[in-house]
Amino acid sequence: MTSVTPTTNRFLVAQDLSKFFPIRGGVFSTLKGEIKAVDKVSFFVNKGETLGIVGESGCGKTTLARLIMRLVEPSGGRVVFMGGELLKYSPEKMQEARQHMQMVFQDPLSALDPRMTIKNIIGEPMVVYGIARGENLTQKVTELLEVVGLKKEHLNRYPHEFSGGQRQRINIARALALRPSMLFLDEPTSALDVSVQAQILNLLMDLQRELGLTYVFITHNLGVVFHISDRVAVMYAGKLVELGKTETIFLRPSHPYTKALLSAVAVADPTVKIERITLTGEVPSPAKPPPGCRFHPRCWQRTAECSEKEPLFLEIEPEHFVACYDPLERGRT
Amino acid sequence: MIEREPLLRIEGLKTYFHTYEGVVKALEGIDLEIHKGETMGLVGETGCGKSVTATTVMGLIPMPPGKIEGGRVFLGEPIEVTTLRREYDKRFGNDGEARKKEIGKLTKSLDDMKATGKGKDPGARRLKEQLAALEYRFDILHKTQQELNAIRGDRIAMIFQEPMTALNPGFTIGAQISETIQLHQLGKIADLALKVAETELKAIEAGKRARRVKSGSGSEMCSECRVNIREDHGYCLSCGSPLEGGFSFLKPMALRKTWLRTSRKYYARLKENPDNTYAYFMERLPVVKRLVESRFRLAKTLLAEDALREVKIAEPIRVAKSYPYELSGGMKQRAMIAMMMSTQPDLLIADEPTTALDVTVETQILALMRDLQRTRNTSILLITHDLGVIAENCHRVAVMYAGYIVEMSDVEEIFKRPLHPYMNALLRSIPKVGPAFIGMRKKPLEIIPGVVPNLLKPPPGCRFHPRCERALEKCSKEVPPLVEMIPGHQVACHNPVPQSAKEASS
Repeated sequence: MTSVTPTTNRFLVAQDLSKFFPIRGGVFSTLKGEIKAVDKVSFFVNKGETLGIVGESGCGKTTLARLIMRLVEPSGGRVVFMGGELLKYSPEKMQEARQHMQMVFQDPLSALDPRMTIKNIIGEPMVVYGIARGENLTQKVTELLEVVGLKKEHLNRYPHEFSGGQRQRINIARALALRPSMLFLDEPTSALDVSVQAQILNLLMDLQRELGLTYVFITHNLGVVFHISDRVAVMYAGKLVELGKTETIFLRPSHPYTKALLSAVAVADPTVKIERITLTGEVPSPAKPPPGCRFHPRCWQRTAECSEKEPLFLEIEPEHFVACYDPLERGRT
Repeated sequence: MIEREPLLRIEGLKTYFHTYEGVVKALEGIDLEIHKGETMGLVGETGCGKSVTATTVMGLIPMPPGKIEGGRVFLGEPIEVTTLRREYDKRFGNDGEARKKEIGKLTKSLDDMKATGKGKDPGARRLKEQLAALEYRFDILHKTQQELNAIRGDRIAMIFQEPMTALNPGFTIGAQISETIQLHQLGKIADLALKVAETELKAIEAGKRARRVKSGSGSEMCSECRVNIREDHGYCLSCGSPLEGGFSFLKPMALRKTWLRTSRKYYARLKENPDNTYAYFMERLPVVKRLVESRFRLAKTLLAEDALREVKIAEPIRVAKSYPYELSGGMKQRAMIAMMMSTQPDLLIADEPTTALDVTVETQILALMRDLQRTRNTSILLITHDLGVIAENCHRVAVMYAGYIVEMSDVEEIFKRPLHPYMNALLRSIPKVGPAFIGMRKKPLEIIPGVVPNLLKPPPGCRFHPRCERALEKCSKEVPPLVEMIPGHQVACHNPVPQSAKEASS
């Protein structure tokens, strides 16, 4: 079903994107160290596709999305979005660019102002950007509500009057208000029930088909990623470790971490017995990442090399990037 | 492998919450049995009553607004008593007077038997069983707070979803684990303290003196026992020999001996009976108290470390000294499990134990729980909304929806042949991973329309009927009872998913 996307319409390119948060301490607030939340991450997103970003909590998934939207200023690297150097934009120009990229947040309730009506919440971006006002605004908000499967009578209600799934629909409607071409979906279904999750995923897939949206879908739910993404990026401790087409990543993973992550998925079928790769230890602290490959202390295939030099993020086959010595040297397992 | 003897039997449990907006009917008559050594899965969406069931069993429902409107929860009731109890229930119904009369009669004849020295006869045992059945003696819902305190943590333990909020941020992990042990198994601590004191006393009497020496690997060893040193108040913990150098209040050995002898007596008395007069007085003499309790505190720490070792924490000594904020989520959950398992409970209630954790840590924690269950034959009530976790860890499953159990069966059966439309739809709405599902990618998922009902105003009849694709007219009027459709597979539905159709479609 997925076709090879031509390389010319790369929609968003991130190159060596980094964010180091300083750790200050002592009497004079001197620099004590850095938390490498995102460390030299490079990837691209094609127009109209869904890129899934998976990883455990604290690996930098959310920070990565915020960096691209410049909600957090990156410490280095570059981002090319629709042909423009995003990181060199002035605040005014950046605001203009944000029309094209919007974000849907994880917790649907805390992302909505409890004292604003739904009409105001969804209409606010349009007022800010001077797109519509008055009667026109109400009409546009109503249209958006219908797009996400809500009704006109919800216009004057407050967020607390809605269920979790409906709140997430409101969030999506607000993100769509400026007719963006790209959405960053930060764990949009992890706060929802299973039966409601399916509703939201269906809505997102429908919207993508109808409006030609590009998604960056951040989640830790591998089932959801497998279902919705064209390509998947796996993050570990601030680094991308593997990036490739969904089928490749899920059926022929190359990086040991990806393998372990995939084997940890609990399958809702008691007859299926998976061979588990149980990782020992914990995710390293981003303030003191281990030298070399960041996964090496937990890796069962590590060699001496792994603890010395960081492996490069290389394309081992077309459209399949891996940051590991193993698949390069010893052939694919 | 699994004994079919029920450990926990929930009968017709009803819990309501009386709020200003009305009565929230959270549980509407739950019947559930958990056998010894099995894992029972309780699955359902937010607000279906999973956690209310668990908290009711634990006696932790805040009252008010909560109120247990009916039902009983029996813990460890022998089968004979259950049978008798059911007979009596049939005989007396709601006639409290007749029941009281019968109790009086039986108590009297039991007393007579005891008076004539026949207290151990089979007849007397039968009478005791009859009395237990009449008085609902195994019912934990109608126990006093004091009786409940003795059960909670000792026979039933609970692991909560969010380990950070369940642990007290102001105390070390070790202190929190040993608190549970001290409350329920004081004898165990006293016993260890006694052993520690005796080893030390023996070493002193034998005239041993130890030095710290460097071992080959660079760590410090005790010169007497050649074990990596761990000292406490200037003596080696493993062999009891006093160490040279360092400061200790009790330097003179004669004084030390006297003190250890006194402590030994205190621990021995405490081990026999925590409420004895000797211990009572010792605990009320200020300086003496501190001195005699010293080895007791040490024993507590050692037991906490053992508990942590059992849940495979890498550095138990360090972790026992840390505060909750110093540990990662997975470590905290392990510490929680250590705390709960330290008293060797019969039943462990795990309320979404891995929801707050990452997948790789989740597998570790679940594997740990399975291991502990195997070695100790603990029963587990595993509450989760993750069907994958259920499929991999449970022997039996109960599916809840809006305060009712709608389906209950063995795990393999329920995933192969879900009978209730809710379970059927739920199973099909999860995005699945694997080579077999490549073709399903990007296709719309099957959904259950609508949302979970508001329990203030639940729909009449079957509470699932407004969202059900197989709803009949009857469904909106009558609550379907939970009946055994296939042996071992119960379902509460007027129009269950037909078997042939399901098999054809899958």
